[in-house]
Amino acid sequence: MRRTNPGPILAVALAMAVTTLAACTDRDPPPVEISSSSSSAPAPAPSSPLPASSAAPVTPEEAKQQALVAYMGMQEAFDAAGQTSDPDYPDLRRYTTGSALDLFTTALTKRKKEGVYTRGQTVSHAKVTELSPAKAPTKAVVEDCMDTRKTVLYKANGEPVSSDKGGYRLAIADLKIAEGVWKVAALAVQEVGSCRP
Amino acid sequence: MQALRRLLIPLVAAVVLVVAIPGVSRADDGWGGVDCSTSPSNPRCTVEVGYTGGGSGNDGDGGGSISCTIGGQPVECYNEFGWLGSDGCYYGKDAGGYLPANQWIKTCINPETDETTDWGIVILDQPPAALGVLTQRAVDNLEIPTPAIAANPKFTTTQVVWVPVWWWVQPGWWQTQTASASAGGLTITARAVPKKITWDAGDGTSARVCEGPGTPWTAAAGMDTESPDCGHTYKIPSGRSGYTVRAVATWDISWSGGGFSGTEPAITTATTANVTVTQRRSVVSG
Repeated sequence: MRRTNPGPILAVALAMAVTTLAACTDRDPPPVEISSSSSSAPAPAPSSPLPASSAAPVTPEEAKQQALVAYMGMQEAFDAAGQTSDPDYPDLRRYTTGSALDLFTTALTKRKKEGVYTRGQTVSHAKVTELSPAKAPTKAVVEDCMDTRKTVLYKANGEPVSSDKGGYRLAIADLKIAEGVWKVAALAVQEVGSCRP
Repeated sequence: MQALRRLLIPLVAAVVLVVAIPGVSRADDGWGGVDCSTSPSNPRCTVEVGYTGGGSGNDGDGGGSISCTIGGQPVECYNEFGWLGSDGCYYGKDAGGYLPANQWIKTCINPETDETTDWGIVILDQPPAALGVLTQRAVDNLEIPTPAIAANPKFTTTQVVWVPVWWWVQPGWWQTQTASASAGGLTITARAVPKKITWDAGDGTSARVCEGPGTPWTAAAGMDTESPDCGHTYKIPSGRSGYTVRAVATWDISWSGGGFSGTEPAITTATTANVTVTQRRSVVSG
């Protein structure tokens, strides 16, 4: 699609029916049927009783909840994987994919090689800020003003890697439905002081 | 691309408020090596929005400007598609105004090829980053007063158990506050609307929620009548240290302008007063 203003077409389409517009997005993947429970565990693909083309597999509210569960799953997985700097920690793959998974595995592999580990837990203040398409969302954005003050990188001898303290960091995560479940696909963690709780 | 260049805002910075700074983090908390210093290609690491100039002040509209960069390169803060989001895409509204306040048309453009890479209707819980700087500025410009509280019997006089106390805020206090911020020809107006005042008598009884300013007491009401809408009757003396009366006003915050609108979390302001409550002499002697 060339860069053209879709305004006039859109106004007409909207006048006809706002609710059907989600179907107009030609680049979006077709809605994926996912389990309606809020669990983010890899689930067997549920049988779809509705035609996939027009069905609303999840409401925005359900999508919000499931995306948040996946994001918090990622947080817990990274906390746990960081204790031993284990790039193969199974839950990392369960809750992340693509560049987000690469980010974690690369960092943890490097830490393992250097013999550094983490202690403490990140405190999340996560909320879903974006869902798309508006009907039957398959993508979500989570923003989290993370409190990292209780986390520290330390060496095998128990000494902290540096005396610099953590603080409030803005994390923006892009989530999508992959293999039937919500996963964090990209993660941007900004520097200490980038948000206010 | 022509539109992009045409709309670039020249930046003459007096005061620049940068809301998202990419960069190298030196902190070795648990996120060292996982943060934006290692993923600089993620636009969410590199979208920056700055607000230039524009004084605050009671109803100051500022007239500032905003500037935006992705990875240090200047980009449009807004264009025919809408306003820049933290993902480098633009978020706009339909010309007919049919979309609900929280639904936006998202358009992503590949700057290399000038092609639209993504397009669709999305739900946003907060305005896109560039517009958010303006709405936040408008909200920050709000001057929200603490409750100007009054009571009968007056807070300064010693009160007596079983005598109804009337609570109210001074006439004229209960009104909507507005403030605005402008940039790029758009003015966003923020509004704070008083919704309720939660009064805590300080005597351990549960708080009283008054949905309005309360009714000022007049002598015609007499001393034994309760306030029709907002008051309290103390039943236990306070002792010498007194009770702390606390009035917490809750304000609904919203913003609008240029066909955009949204809400922000409510804001509360509070005032306290100290009162001493004694027994009636007759009760004491009885």
